Amino acid sequence: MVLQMLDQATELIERNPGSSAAKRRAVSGAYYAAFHAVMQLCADEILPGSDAASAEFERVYRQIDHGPLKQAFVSDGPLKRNTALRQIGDDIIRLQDARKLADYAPPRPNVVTLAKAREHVERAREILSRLASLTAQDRRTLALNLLFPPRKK
Amino acid sequence: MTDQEISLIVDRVLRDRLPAAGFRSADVWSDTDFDGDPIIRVTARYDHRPSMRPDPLITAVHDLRSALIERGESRLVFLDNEVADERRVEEDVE
Repeated sequence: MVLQMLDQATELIERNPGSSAAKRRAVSGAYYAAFHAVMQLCADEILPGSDAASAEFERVYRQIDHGPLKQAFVSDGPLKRNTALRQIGDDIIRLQDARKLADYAPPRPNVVTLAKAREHVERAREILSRLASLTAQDRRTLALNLLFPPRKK
Repeated sequence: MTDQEISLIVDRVLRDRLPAAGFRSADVWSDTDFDGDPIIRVTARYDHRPSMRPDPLITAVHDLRSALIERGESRLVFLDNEVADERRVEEDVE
């Protein structure tokens, strides 16, 4: 599904390069594609081989929210110390910020330029690629830290 | 780190990393993101966008972040790129 979301985002941009609405929808879709990819990885780690239609799978899949996702990556901890995970975090936080601007900024021209819209979709593709290349240990670290953030002292 | 100190590192990293893109200059300034958290904004200017994938203009941010973390600067970097040969003035229709 996430690749289709990104292909549709690209199509939306290229068919409507002068449409503010199209570029804003594309950026929003790019973020959500990356977000779904992260949730999928986490659920697959905790419930390997589980039926994606099951209540258990959905419960894990929907455990991550946007604010805590950002917090997990910016806090001092394994997601910041590990270079491969930090790069995923840097990209998804940047995309999340662009998504908020795209979704919430008042209507005005060029909130998202054509070049930026294309870059954000490419950034989401890069996140997918980085997630796919993680080692088994890094996947586990990512899932555990996003699903079970450390207790505050 | 001050914006000026960060700017020196940004210039060095982008010039060394992307010779094929024709790095011209970069603006660097301290800012906040949509949530109000402190970040470093960088706008880099190039002659061309290399055709390779992943796009090195996008992934350059990771080299910038690593270089800055080495110097003790932990803020996130939001990198934007302006490429001369793809610049088009396209005012949105809405």
